[in-house]
Amino acid sequence: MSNTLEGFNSQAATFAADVDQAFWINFWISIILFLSVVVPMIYFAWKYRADKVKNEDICKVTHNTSLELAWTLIPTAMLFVLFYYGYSSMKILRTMPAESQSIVVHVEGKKWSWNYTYPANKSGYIHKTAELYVPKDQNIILKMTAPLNDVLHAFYVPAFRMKEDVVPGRITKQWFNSEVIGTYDVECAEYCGTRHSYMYSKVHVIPRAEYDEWFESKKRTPGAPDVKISKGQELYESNGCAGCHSIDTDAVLVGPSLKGIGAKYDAGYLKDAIVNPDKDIPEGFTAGVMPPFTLPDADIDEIINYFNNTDKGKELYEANGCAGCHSIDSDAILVGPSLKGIGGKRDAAYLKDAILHPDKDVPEGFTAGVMPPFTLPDADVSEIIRYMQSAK
Amino acid sequence: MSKSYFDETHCAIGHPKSTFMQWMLTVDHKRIGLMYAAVMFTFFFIAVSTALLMRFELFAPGQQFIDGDTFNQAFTLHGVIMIFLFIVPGIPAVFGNIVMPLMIGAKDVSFPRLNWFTFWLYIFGSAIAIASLFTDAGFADTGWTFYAPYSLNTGTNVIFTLVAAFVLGMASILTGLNFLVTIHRLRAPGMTFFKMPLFVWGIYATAWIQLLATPVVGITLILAIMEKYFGIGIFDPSKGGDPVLFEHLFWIYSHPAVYLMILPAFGIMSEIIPVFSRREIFGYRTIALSSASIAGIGYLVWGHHLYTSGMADIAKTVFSLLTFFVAIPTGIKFYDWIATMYKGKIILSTPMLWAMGTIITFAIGGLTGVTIAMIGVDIHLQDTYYTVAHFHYAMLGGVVFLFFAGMHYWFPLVTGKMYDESKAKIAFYMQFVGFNLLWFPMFIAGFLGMPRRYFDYLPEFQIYHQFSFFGALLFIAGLVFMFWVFYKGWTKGEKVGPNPWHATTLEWHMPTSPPPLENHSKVPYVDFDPYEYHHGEPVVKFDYETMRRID
Ligand code: HEM
Ligand SMILES: [Cu+2]
Ligand SMILES: [Cu+2]
Repeated sequence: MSNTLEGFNSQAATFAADVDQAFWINFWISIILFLSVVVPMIYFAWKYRADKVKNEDICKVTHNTSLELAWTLIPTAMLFVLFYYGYSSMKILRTMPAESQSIVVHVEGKKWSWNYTYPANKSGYIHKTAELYVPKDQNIILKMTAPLNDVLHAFYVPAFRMKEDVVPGRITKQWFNSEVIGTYDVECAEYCGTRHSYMYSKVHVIPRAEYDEWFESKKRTPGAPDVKISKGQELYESNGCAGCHSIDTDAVLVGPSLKGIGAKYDAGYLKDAIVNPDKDIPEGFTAGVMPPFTLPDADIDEIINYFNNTDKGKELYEANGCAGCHSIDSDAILVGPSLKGIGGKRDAAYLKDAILHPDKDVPEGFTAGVMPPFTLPDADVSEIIRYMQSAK
Repeated sequence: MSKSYFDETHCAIGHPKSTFMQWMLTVDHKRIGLMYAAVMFTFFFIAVSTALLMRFELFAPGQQFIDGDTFNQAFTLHGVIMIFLFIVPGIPAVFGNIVMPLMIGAKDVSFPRLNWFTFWLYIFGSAIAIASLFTDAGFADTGWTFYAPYSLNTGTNVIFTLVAAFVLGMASILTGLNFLVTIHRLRAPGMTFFKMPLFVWGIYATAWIQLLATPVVGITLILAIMEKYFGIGIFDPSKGGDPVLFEHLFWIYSHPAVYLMILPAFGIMSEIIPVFSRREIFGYRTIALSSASIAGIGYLVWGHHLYTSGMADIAKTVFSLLTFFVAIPTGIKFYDWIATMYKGKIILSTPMLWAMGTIITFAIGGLTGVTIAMIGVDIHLQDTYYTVAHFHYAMLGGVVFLFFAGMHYWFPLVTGKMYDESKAKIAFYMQFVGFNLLWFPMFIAGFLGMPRRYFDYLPEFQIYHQFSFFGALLFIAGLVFMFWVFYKGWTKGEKVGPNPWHATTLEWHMPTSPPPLENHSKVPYVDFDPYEYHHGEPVVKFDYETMRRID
């Protein structure tokens, strides 16, 4: 991730001004209190310096009730003003808006990346992103957690003045509403190890329309070029496969979900399943429900290609935070080795092992125990492997 | 010539002939205090060197000298040494030992052998901590806070550090116990609590914290060790435990611990200000009682470290309110000190310079603490360099500066010699300027969003880190120079009598300089206040042989 300071000292969330106000009230009161101590000190040190004071003139006051009351009560009053502003700004920061009027995004922080899961859009598609995209003037609630075997992190957006720890096994919440279009840095503020100081992400505040358009689409990011719908996908949708089989989620509609199906079965089996569905019915489903499709061979190949699409792998690669430690388009060593061209060097079985049991064979120059074992569905692993193989 | 405590000593076991063994086995509180000082400052310099290494690395964004993992070990080493090996034993171990018994007219602490044992427990604990540097896994990389579950998962050698912190905690408890009993039982006849010097009050309040709060961290560390090696599932979320619980337990000790550091330091301030203003202190009782109340309320504010950890808003509010209550007695002390200077005769010797310098730096440390006691503001500033700058202003610019003030003030008492005043003043100015240059820019960096424990940072922060780097160089140069001045003073300094500063408290009424083995020749009768001056001279005078008043 490129390291540039974006919007640190701007007030980009509705509550930032309140926090800043509390800070500056504190600042000026502190200056007053500071001067009330330091000015008399320096003045006395000069006025009563040893060579100016005769011993007989030294005065012995050790009490002065009204003065003591003054310097107890006045600072106390000031402190309580500060307490109040600390409290009131906290109230604004921590009073969650109603979920019905907010977009609830799930945030996962893990060593050493962030990812965001959105609610399903109209077509049931669920965006999973590595940066956060939100519309302007909209309440956003973040529900945050970390994997159980991970460590503490903190989701900190300086431009918004907000921060909350991300705790494995708990769901912590924050909210914000940004009025200023722009891109803002997210930093990890709770120490989490080797790449703690690289655990950045970004919040993109974008116009409503742009957000809505993206949200209802399947584009990976709002800026991204339209996903070119592949021939296969078109066929998948136009033949009505999508009516009975979800492909982006595990949801069972009529038939089984086809998510990651390409990795589980070879092309021959899949072709059979389309042309002659009753030949092998998966457990839990009944024969005779799905009609046999008679399609030209070329079309079937396209659909199978679609099953095997590698974009999925890239998404998973980023969403699981692989990219936080392994570069894939350059030779740069982040935490672990670069995976550029790894597909040409290692076979799929080795790669799978390396994901599931990283400590089994640690490459020269790296230490065991750094990379956590990933427990992912086989299908996802295959997608990731396919992605690694395709990234040359 | 009469013998001083350098010439003869009592030993824990037997009567060894060799000077070396006499030091190793000594039970004399003054010698033990000196040995603490020698060991603690050795560690201090190791931690300062580690800090300098970090400062070099942070000079520019990107990796310069060390990699991320090493940096993580560096700030852990720095923090662990500064806290557990240096500042927690701190002023009590050195001046609590050397000066406190003298101030109350005692011959030693109540349990001199226990004191000896405690010192060696401290050495043992420190040795364990340092030993992990030389193991394969290397020094812990958890930060000095050992937060779970990171500390449970990391491959570095956390166990040594945890055990070390536990052992050092034991030493701290025993010191507290010893001092409590000493202050209760061994005060000279006539010395009521309100006739005790304020440094003794500081040590007294601290001793209670050591005794009552330290066991909490002991238990916490044991639980962490059990979690790590037996997986008992208290803190580890993957076993159903709760990492936030660890944070609570940790700060239930570590917050009171900051008062355990600062209260004796305030005590030193309260000794120095009246002596160098040549008049009685203003508001003696207020200062004494505010130490006690800080120690009391200090137990109840730990939650201000957890504003962003996942805690109910109402809990945050209560912790914040209580935190503001601690600020009040602290503030009052400042006004009392300043009022003591009013119409006094201000002598700007080095100890007074350090004391006044600390009023400035600690005021900044304290007031920025108020910033982060404000919940809403702290949500932004928590775990940024603002916080790091705040605690360096409080601990380095507060506790350590006053420690240095005390070292100048009691130098003639301990060594019987005087250091070179003008050089010592130069060292002060170097450190004062260097320190502010080192840490003030970090407030700005933190305010703009520079998180702490970052080995690399965004380029916009570079300017602050570079100021800070040059500040560190100046500060460390001044530090080294100051120790050189001490060294010269001790070896070549002019000999001085028992009371070079015209001070009033009992430690300045010794028959010899430096003091003899068993302190005052006779136990004095104390029917006077600790800081009685008349026309700029101490009121109470003693015949040092009989310890009868001759004024
Ligand atoms: C020579 C003077 C000092 C310098 C240059 C210095 C510098 C630093 C630096 C660069 C850090 C790391 C900040 C980060 O990465 O977040 C740090 C952390 C720390 N320092 Fe210092 N420091 C000095 C003196 C002290 C003293 C005297 C104490 C206490 C007695 C102290 C206590 C700490 C603690 C507790 C931490 C936090 C460690 C952690 O994050 O676990 N430092 N210091
Ligand atoms: Cu982190
Ligand atoms: Cu605290």
